Amino acid sequence: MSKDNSIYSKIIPLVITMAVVVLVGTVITMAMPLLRDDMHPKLESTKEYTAIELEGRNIYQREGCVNCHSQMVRPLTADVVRYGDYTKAGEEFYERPFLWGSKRTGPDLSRNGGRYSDEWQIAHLKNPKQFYPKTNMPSYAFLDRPANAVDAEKSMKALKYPYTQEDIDLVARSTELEALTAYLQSLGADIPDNLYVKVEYSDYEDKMAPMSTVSPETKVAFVDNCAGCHGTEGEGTEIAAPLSDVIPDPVIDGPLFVSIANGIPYTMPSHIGIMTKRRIWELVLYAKELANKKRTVATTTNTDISAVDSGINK
Amino acid sequence: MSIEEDNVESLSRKDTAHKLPLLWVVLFVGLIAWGVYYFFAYTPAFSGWTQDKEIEESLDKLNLN
Amino acid sequence: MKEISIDSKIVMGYIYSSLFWGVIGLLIGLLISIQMWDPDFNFGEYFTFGRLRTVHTNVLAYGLGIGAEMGVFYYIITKLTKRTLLFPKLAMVNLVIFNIGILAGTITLFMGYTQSLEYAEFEWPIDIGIVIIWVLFAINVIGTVATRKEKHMYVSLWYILVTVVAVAILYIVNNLAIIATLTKSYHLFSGLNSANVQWWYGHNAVGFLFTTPILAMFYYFLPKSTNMPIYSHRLSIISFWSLVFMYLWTGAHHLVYSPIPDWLQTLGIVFTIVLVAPSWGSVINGYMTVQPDWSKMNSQYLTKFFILGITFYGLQTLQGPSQGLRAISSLIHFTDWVPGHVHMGTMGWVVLVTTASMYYIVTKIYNTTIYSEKLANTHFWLVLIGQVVFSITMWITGIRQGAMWKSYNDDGTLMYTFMETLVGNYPYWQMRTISGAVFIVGMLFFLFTLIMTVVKGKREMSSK
Repeated sequence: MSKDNSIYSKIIPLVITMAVVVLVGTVITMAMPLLRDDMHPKLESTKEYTAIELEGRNIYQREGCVNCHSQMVRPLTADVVRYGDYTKAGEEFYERPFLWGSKRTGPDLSRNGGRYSDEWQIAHLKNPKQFYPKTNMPSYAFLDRPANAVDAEKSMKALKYPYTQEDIDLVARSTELEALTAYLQSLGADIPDNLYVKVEYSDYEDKMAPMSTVSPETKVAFVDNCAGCHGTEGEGTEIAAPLSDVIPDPVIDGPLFVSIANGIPYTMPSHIGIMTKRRIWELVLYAKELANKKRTVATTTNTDISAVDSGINK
Repeated sequence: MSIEEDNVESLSRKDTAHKLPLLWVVLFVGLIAWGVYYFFAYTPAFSGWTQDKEIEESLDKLNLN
Repeated sequence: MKEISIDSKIVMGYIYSSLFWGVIGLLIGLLISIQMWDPDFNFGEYFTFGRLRTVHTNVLAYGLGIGAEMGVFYYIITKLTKRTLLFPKLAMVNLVIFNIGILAGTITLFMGYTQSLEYAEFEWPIDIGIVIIWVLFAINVIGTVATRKEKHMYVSLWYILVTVVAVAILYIVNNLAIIATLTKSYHLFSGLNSANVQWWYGHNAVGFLFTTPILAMFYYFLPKSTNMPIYSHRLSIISFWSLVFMYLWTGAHHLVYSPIPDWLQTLGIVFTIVLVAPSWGSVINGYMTVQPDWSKMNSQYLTKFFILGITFYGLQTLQGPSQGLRAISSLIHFTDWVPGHVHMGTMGWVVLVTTASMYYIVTKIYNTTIYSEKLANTHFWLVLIGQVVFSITMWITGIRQGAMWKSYNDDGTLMYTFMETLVGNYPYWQMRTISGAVFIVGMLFFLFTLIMTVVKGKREMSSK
């Protein structure tokens, strides 16, 4: 052994050799990519964060949301069907740091923007169990306090993002919940229409549900997925009006099916990726049933079909 | 501090100091060979394979209707 | 002899400090494991999972991990260089700075000051502190080795030196930031580069905090405690250089199926798989060392810590690389499989080897024998069972949820909502809490045995 003592007994050359050996892979896989074009493309639609979105992002970072929520839809069909179009390199241009995460204890959020209303986001942040009784997400009711406009402006300056005094004023009169919601609603905006799986409206126009009974599983699905906003009997909550108000009477099943399947931007999330079509048709029936039950009690004639319309006109 | 001084020479065996287990060497060489294959097979510039092509093909196969 | 030397005091100081942070980090780990299945265990603003998970990883990686490594390294270095530390007072001062730094870092993580980069969450003022701590440590290590009285440099010293060098490079680069306020900064690198630099750092933080330092301990304490010399010097040389060369290429395996360019992902995967060989070089070297007399597993209580430790290292370095493969990554990425993997490495490999090294050190420093081999064996079995159940539970959870995420109905829609895939995890997560508790009880046995050994040693010294 003593014969291999040459380099191993001279500490400075040894340490330098170690540094060089460590730096080879470093240069090729970490440093060199910094200079490559394929590492910083930018989509035309990709814009700097506004002041309130950045403040929301700061809060997202502070609360460690990234520890449970990923923001990277992988180019795998199951990911795309569940969340929307897969993450593109060009969307990431302004991400400092990237927030892809490494664990999905909760769902991916990179296509979250516009899936729900602002009211839903805030109510859900305050009390996630209201919508998902079995969730493990903590309550973020403590974020119902003023956002920090001073730091938000410092952040905008540090990152050299354009802003106006109005933008800062908006932060100043917002709560942290509202700022976080603004950020959550911005996610995925670079790729408009990023919902990958959709039904085409024309296919279902004037179509009646192809069955006449509602299975018990569908009623469970209604409780699990719909009751949070619509109430267990469709009686409505502060998030959504009673079904008897939002479903027109008489209704054509087709448009209702499309609304539940594709969702309504900033109102209701889509369901086609995570439910069979049969289940959604049964939900159409069940929703109608619940609405009619309510109507026979209240004999309401006042209907609001605007929500359903906005889904059709997409 | 030292209660006993280490005899550094005694920390490794003399008789087998230069031995390399054959199976381990085979493993190492085999892995390098596999690595070369995999690098060429999954680098777009060499094989034409790309992640985007793979997902687009599998999305095309997805038939929801 | 009434008193232990200044160097021994330094070593013991680092050991005590690491034990303190270890207990904090483990208890927080237990709490967040409960939060996974019952959100009512989130308390107020400072005790939510999002913040505590970061506290858990950082307190254990830096408070326990680095603290223990600095102490054990100082011990190994004085032994292998046959001299006292070059700057003992500096090492003492550094111990104080280190604890102030970890305390400040922990408090800031509770406050939510984080860079959101895994294992590099500390904000920039803490980062400056960490760099100072590391430079002071490096001065002492390199200085002492440079002025050593033993010409030969044993393999443990190389592992220590490369740890010092690599951690410095990694930590400084990944923490480069655009500063907004005293408590807020933004990664200097954006988008894909932010991801790529972070995982170049993140994976090598594992490499140079949980692999090379523990190998340094393994190569020193295995022959010392068993009196069986390391099997092949050449095998350790080749393993060493190929390991430290290849590790740095592998970061992109954390970014499989991401928008990172294909060539970069592929390169990361290739080096990850080839890395099996150098890792197993050390595993084989360990087994072959004990090969001439396996009865040492029975007759010498520390042997099993090292052999089981290197076994988990071996399993870890097979499982980890497999996770890099695209097919496997597509199933288990983002699931509990990955924390299961990490915990086998930390609770199996790192903890078994580090705690055994500490037993050895304490008995040598106080020139005594262990307080109770029976208690040390209880520690061993509880930690082993806790870890194995923990890891296996997490793998099952991960495969289960990963498979549910990609189960389709006949009409091409997905079979399960996210919530349906989540609630099925709860029984497994409860199992994890139980196995984690078993592990922690094992660690309390360790703590007790170690401290009682010190007490015993002190008593014997004063009676002399």
